[in-house]
Amino acid sequence: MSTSDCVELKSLLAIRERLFDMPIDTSKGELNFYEELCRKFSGSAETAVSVYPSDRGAIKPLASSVPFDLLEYFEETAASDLLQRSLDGGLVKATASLASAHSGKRVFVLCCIRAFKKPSAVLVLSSPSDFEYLAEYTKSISQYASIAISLIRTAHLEQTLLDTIPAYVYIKDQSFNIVYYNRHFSETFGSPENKKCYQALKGASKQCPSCPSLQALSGGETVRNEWISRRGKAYLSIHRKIQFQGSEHLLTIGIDVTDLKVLEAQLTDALSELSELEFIINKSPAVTFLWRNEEGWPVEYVTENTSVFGYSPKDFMLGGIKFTEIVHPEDIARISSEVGAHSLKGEDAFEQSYRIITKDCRTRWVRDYTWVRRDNSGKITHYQGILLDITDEVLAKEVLKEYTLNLEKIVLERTKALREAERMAAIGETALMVGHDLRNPLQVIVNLAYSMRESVRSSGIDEAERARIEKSLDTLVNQTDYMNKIVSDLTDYSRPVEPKVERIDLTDFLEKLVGDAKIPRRIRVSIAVEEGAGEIRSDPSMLRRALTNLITNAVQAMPGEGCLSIAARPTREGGTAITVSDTGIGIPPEIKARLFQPFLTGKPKGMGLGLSVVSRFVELLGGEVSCESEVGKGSSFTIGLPPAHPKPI
Amino acid sequence: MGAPEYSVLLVDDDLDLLETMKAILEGRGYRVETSQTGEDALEKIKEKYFDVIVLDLVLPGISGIELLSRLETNRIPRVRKIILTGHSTLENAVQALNLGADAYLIKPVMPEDLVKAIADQIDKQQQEILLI
Repeated sequence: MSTSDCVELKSLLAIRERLFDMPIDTSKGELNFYEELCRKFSGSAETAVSVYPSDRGAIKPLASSVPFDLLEYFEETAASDLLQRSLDGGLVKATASLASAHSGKRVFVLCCIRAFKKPSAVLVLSSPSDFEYLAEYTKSISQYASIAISLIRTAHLEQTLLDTIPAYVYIKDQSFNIVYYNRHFSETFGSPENKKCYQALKGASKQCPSCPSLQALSGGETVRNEWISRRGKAYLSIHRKIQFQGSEHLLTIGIDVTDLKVLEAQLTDALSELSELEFIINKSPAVTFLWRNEEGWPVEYVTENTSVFGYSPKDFMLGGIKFTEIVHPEDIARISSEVGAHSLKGEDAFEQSYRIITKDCRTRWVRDYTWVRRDNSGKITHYQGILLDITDEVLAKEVLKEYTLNLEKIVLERTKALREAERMAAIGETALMVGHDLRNPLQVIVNLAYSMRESVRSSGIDEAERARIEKSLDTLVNQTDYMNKIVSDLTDYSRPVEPKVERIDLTDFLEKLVGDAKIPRRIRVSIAVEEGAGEIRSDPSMLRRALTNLITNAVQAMPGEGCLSIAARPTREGGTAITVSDTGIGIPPEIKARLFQPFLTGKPKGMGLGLSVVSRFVELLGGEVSCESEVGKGSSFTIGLPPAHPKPI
Repeated sequence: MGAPEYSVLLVDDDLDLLETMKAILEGRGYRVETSQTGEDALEKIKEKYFDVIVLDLVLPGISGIELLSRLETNRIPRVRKIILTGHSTLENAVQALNLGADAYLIKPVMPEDLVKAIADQIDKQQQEILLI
């Protein structure tokens, strides 16, 4: 490769890079960056494709905006396949000369270019007849130039031969007077006799501002330029310094490239339209794919906005990721069979929803609008699809569904709670009534027991019999006491209560409470009131009921000997905590969870209202009850009272 | 304890309660009469003097509260009024005491406690008499 070839190559690369933004390996003076793309697009091209400098004289001037002078090799079969596809896709047209890296054989072809900023794709057609003449032109001009030059050099200026060339040829002296011209020249521009070049060609009165001939004269190189005639024709010309009739002259050969320029303009427009379209697509959420109908659905083309899924087009087109690799594994079988079903029915457009896995392993839902592409025989060659991310939509539906389900659940729960509340209210009213109504019979029983005891004392029956009857009467009175306690719990739990807060000396209060509580002798009792908890403000009767119930429970939890401790201490919040602890049987965890619910009891008898009353009263006092318990070791209940009651008397 | 000359009126709609209570008090030497309604109680109070009236708050017809209020209005002298009720609320108690009740007991009361309460009221009544 010569130095000028390298320069040529570099400028070619510059254009390429600008247009294609592809990595180019120039270390060997060869371009092999197309190999993967070529393989992907043609399917059967050679893996190594070398790009050589173009036929400079002919094509370089046209390469200013698009890469006309790509030199690539494709097998004809691949190219015909590409032709079909480019027709399907409506691609951009361009010309190119291709050369095989192996045979060196060079052909001029029409390229259909799909130019994308990154990455790029170039589809190449075999030379279609419509454009063959363009290829011939570009090939011819340099041949004509060499013929002309050799003829001139050998001083055999054969008019007839030059007249056959379908290009204008003229020679001028250094004052721009035309001293020689061929027939094509006079047929195109009229006779140039006694005219300077600018007068003959352009009808201008003075020398052109950037005269290519002057450049050729001063530099000694061949200069190329393009110009437009008064009739609007575009010409491509070359200018070269020659020795003619013993002095330095300038040879100019030009051809009409109007059709080529029109084509170039169309191509430029088409390219800009395409890039506009591409811009719009890439700004939209519609990710556009083109898949080959092969195992794994290899991606031939994808728009840049595939970045919404974390991928870049290179991942698919160069990196070898097949489309099925990004489809959620659970969805592949379904969408494959759906595609099969649509295809069988001959449907060439259908819609599917499925999940895809993003590059950072998230799952996104997409709706895929697919179109089927077929070749002339009707065989499916490709699928093209537009993917819309519908994750938000799907999630919203799921949330809605869940909400709907939950709503039913919530309604059911609320209804249940309401029914429970109604039931409790009814129980409460009943309990209150029953409680009141039970008090009279209890009074009667107590009265009768009293009278009987009196009678027994004065009846004179024997001592043993009297003791037996009195023991029975004691039991009767104790049981009545217990019944009365149940009645109290029932009414306390059910009746509306409003706390009446007053000052309470806690030490006195607790001592009196314990004194009234009839604690069996087997149980040791301790009362400890810490400093700062000596005086509180609360409702004494409610607090008494709550503490009495806790003490009763504690006593019942200790069938044998035991220790009952009542301790009061100030809390960090400025309130007071009163703890009633026992060394009794403890509370099993399953009971503990529902400890304060009414009508639940772990005891062999009783309705389980005691702790409900504690909880109710303490809550009314603005406090809370907590419980710690270990089976076999004992329980401890703490009433936490707030710092001050909002309604002191 | 109480002396035979003192009289007690028991007012309650529960006949068994009245009879058992009457027996106990009579055993203690009181002269006891009973009423099952407020109206009947009022009649009896108009006819004769009682030292102590033991009454329930919930009665058919004239309620215990109403009865108290009428006694208060009619300024029946010296009679001591003990409430014995199963319908115990703080509101009831406050209302009853405001209407001139001298003691407030909740059913079931231990008979000895009731007897003591009656005796206490009679003592107070005697002291008042002495003061006059």
